[in-house]
Amino acid sequence: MSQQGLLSTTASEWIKFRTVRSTLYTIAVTVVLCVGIGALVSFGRGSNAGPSGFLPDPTRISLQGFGLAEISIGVIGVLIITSEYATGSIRSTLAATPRRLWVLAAKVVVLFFSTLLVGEVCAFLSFFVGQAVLRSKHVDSATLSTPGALRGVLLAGLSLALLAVFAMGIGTMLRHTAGSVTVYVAILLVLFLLLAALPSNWQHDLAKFLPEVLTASMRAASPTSNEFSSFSPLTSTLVLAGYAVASLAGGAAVLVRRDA
Amino acid sequence: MIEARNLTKRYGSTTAVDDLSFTVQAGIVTGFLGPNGSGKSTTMRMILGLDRPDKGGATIDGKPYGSLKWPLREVGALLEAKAMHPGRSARNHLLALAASNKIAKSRVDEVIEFVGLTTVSGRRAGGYSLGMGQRLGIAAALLGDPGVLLFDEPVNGLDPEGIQWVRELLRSLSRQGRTVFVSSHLMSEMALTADHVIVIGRGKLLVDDDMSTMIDRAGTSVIVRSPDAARLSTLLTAAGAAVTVTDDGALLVTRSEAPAIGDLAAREGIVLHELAPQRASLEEAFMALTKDDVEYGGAR
Repeated sequence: MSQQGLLSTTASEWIKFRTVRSTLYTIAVTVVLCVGIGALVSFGRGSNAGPSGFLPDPTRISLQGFGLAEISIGVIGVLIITSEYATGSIRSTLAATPRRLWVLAAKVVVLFFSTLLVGEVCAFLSFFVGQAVLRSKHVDSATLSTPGALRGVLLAGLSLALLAVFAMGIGTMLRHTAGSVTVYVAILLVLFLLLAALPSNWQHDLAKFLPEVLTASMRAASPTSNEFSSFSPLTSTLVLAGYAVASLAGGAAVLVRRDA
Repeated sequence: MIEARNLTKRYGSTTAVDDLSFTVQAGIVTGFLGPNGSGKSTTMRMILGLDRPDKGGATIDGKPYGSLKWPLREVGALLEAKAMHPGRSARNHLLALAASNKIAKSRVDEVIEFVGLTTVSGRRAGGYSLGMGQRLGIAAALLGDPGVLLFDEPVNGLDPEGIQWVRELLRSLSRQGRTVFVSSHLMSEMALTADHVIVIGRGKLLVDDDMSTMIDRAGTSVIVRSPDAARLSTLLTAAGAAVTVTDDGALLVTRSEAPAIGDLAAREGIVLHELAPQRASLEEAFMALTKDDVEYGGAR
């Protein structure tokens, strides 16, 4: 290769990603949240099920921990870029790779595939642990061959990777860790609360666009009997991917224009 | 070779760098001097493509920094100390930089050894002293064995031994034919290292000259004592010299030389008790040069 490109820049970003402790800590927290809360919720739901042992969508029950893991995975996404501004290392990075969009692309590649791996590990672990808990309670449980279960597990993992990239876009636009995490969490949680202030027919139309509702739909093995209507799992995935792309585009515009 | 043409950078209503043009030649050490806040770091960041100039531009061997194929192999830069993640070890920091420019891993250990950080290269950089941080920054600059080097205040935080080491390093790099551009706010430091100086004040070019010319230009003054100081002062002023009376009654004469003053006194029959040429220090010359700019800055 005669000049810098995605390959060399990605090799560099991969070294940077895996050589700070915060990455490892946050991944560990994410796995614990996913599997631990998934097991707890499965235990609770399994204990409270009626005598028939009926549970709506056992797959989704075992993946309940993802709601909180979405926050820790967002922190990874934010930190991959804001830690560079906080420490001043962004200047070393951009002096080494002045084509700034290569830096952004390399970070996306490293972040997306790392968090996808973490997400899928979380999803399969949560599923197997959660279903084992449900089986021990002799209530409805799922296997990977249950219709929609494998899709729910795979998309649950993917949802974390897409949210991490979404968070990275926010971090690239704002450049400050605390501010970016706050905005990310606000989009995840506060929007949901604000929705309650809207007229009910608006709630009905807008709820399905909220990240929380999108990821819940992605995790579901069977259509959810929610109070809100939601998109199908695949449409939800596309909408969430659209958010990630839009956030990155905003980040790219800021990164290219502003002084380092 | 580094070339800056009409570099201009504004922050709101403040002009940090004002229509700055200069050339930094290969094979010598070029000092970049100015008081703190005069725009040295901003200029260096613009050369490296980190800050975008409002007007003008800079090139490295004729090419803008952003179009270099493998930037670290052509340009090495020490920016402010510790432009690195405190949680990452020195070795990993350098490995990441090396990977981005396809520089061999063996080169990483080479530069670590060269700057004397071998024993601590596995430790987190956050625990480094200012001096160790500077050494790591210098290692990063040398990583790609570049022909052009920029150092922003490289001796900051170094002990006397480290300062000596940096001076030797800058000189030996220039002897190897490289372009060496080093900023400082201390003229005395540059006098020991630089062959050429570029002085800026409030973002404007003040001096772009050889160090020896700069030293000559620092000029001399003459202390003159005479029982007839008042008449001598009048005559000297009439002859075009500048005279100030010191606290103890001596005359401090500039824009004239000792022999001329002696001749004039002899012609007029004035007795002299002292006629002593004083060589102004380079630091004083630098202070005088940038005084207006600093004062202007303070008054705003």
